[in-house]
Amino acid sequence: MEEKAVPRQGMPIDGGGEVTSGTHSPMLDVGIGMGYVPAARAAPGNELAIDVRGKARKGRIVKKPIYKREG
Amino acid sequence: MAAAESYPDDLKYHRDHDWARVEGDEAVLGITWFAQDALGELVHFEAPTVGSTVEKDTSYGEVESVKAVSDVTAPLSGEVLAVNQAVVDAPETVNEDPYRSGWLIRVRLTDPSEIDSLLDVESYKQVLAEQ
Repeated sequence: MEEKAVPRQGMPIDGGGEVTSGTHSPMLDVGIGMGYVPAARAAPGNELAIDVRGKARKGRIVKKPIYKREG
Repeated sequence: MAAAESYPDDLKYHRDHDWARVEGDEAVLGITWFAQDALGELVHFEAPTVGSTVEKDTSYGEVESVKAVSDVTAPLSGEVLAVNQAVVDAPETVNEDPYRSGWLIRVRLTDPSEIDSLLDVESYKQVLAEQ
């Protein structure tokens, strides 16, 4: 997530799709998650808005793994 | 470091596990040790905006932990004068010190008579005993 918010399972994604799982990452100290979006919008780097209990919160598509231990 | 269980006797309590420290016509609000313990480590505080109003017995924000999200109930009505930015930046502050550095918001009371409806520490402990 680009904003302070935790995505959770079932939250709608603006433009279609939804979060299938999400939590807060203590290592990255941001909300992270996985979800479905329309294939046309599924490129890494794309920004999207997730409906977090009625408020649109900005997220960004990243490549897996979301977190990779350094060293 | 999680705080040890405590319920200061200079606070007023709401049965939804919120506290108020009344200071003249203002009050500082937060959640009790019991609330933070039930939620676990907090990762997000969805705060109201300064200048907005909060209404007694209704939600004025959300606290989210790794495992759960909960509304925060206002024990008193008022206008939001300040939001604790330290908690917005580091929500675990609430776990470490729920009554001092872990306060959530400061309000100017719109109806100080509401204070009479809140619980003192003994009554709140009674609520906890019934959980």
